[in-house]
Amino acid sequence: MHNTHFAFFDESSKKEIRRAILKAVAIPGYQVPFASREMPIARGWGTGGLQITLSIIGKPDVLKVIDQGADESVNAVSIKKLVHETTGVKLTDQTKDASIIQSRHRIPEVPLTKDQIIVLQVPEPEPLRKVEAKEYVTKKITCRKRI
Amino acid sequence: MKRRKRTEILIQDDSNLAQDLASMILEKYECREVVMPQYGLTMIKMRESAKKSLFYMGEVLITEAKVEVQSCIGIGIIVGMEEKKARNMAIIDAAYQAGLPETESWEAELIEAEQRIIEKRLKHQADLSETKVDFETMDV
Amino acid sequence: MGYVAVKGGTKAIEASMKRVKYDRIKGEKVLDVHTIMSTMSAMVDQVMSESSLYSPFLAALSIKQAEGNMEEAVFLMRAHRSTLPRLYYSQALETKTMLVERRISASFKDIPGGQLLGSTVDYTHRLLDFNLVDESLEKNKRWLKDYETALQENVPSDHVHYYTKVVEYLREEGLFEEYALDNTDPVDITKESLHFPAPRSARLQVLTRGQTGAVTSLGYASLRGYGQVHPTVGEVRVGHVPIHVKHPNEIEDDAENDYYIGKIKITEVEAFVPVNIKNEDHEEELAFEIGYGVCYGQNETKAIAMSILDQCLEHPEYHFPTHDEEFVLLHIDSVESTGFISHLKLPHYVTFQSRLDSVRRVKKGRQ
Repeated sequence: MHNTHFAFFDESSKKEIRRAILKAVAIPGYQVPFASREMPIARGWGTGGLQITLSIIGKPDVLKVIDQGADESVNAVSIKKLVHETTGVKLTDQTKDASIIQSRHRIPEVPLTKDQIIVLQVPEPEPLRKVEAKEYVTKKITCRKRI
Repeated sequence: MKRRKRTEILIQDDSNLAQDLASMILEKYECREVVMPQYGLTMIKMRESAKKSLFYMGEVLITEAKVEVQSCIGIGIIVGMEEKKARNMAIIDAAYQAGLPETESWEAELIEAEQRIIEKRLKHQADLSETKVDFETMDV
Repeated sequence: MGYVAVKGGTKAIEASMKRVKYDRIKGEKVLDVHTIMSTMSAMVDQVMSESSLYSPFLAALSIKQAEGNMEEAVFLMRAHRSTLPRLYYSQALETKTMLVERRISASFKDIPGGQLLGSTVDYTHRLLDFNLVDESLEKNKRWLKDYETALQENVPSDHVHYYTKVVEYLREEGLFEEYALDNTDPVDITKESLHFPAPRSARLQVLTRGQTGAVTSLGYASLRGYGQVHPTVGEVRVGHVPIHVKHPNEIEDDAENDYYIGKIKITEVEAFVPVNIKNEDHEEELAFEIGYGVCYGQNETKAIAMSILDQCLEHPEYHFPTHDEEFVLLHIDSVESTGFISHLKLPHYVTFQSRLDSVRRVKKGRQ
């Protein structure tokens, strides 16, 4: 009873995150917040991207992880290790072999095909955060700009 | 006896009553395991007393089991990691759902167990009352 | 296997994990999880509260694994929580059903039912007890036996006592506003992300799982002057509350057919806060409002601080950070704050290099 569930999250959590992803894809330019799940890796260490990866990954997937521009940086290794241990999926450092690429800071040089998914992490999704700390305010400004 | 009362008694009982009652059913009827005892969460909904509104306080670890007896499904839910007791509770619940004759004979035992629980609680409260502050002596 | 051996990090990480284990066991002592459960209850309570997961056993295990590091223990619990399915929601818990272990009021001396101190260190003198250095099971057994013998003289009453809430007496007198039951479905911040302005339900959920130190500090800041709330504690109660769950498929709404699933220990606080209100003739009048605090286990400081912050957030004040819900709610979560602070340890080689490049360019330009 102590075996960790496939891809760590229980299925309903994954479903909720996938719903947020679908909404984000369907409404261009709109950032869809989702309730961050608690992860076995600390917040700010790539957990936002990791939650996306874990909610979309399946057994046949092949994963590549880039952190600070490198596949072998300690954090990239740690993220890969978690996904591998909870799913058993194949890992690669070749962009063309990967079906999911989770990256921080770098977009792979090899052009991606429509069958590949890139999960791109950013440190702060709200571009206005540096000028305005309050989320209530930035959300209003962003809305106004769009109208 | 309705479910609320009997689950209150069976879960708080610290003799082996749930085990005893469940074995009676297991001996006579076929019990099919629908959900093996599994760990899960129950979200606690809380009524705050300032404005009497509701909020979620957090989750509590539970063990859940489901058992089918005579085409009736019983559920056992218990706080903590209690595989055996969850399963026993599910069997007893199924027995009541199916209206098995055994359940009628359980009434007396359950009431007896309830009395034990109440007595224990009364004793605990009496012991605690030693820590009650007596202000009267200060008023003199 | 298509597993690609990665350079650099992997070996160092594995060696470092071994080092963690080595440091934990090299003293050649083993701490049993059950020993933590029965002798470190305050810590267990705090971990359960901050992780928002009630399970003394798992909390004790997390404390053991984390070597007593609170933030790490809470982190482990939160992560574990993500792996478990949420199977049920409880019926609304009402603390009038609490089996009270301790209950005091700082507002009234003569509260009906009395001031029940229960088990508290409030009036102990904080002197290190060197007798604990040589504590022995035998001695403890003797003490327990003597204590239990003395307790035998206590005569039980004939009915179980439930304590009426102090605030209910004041409501009966018309001194506090009476509210009708508000059954609005609460927002669940573990299911949808927090947005502002936040509903009361979301605020209370964030506060009750806040880091004890953070909640206490902000509550204290408000008291000291960086806020407008100066309460009197109306009631602190600690005890066990029963949990009931409705049958998942039965349609009829009969509480008598709910499942009792067990009980949890909580601390609950009502803080009375004087406020100026306008009466019908538009004259200023003094009235009282209630700040509400509650948390898993026995953690009175946190519950009282929460009651202060609850009241602060009910009255937004531009000048005070403790009355600003984004400021309070976004910074008190243990896992979020410790996670983000510690992410600064992550390699930022590329980020920092690009900054260095900019600085170099600027300096060159100047020369």
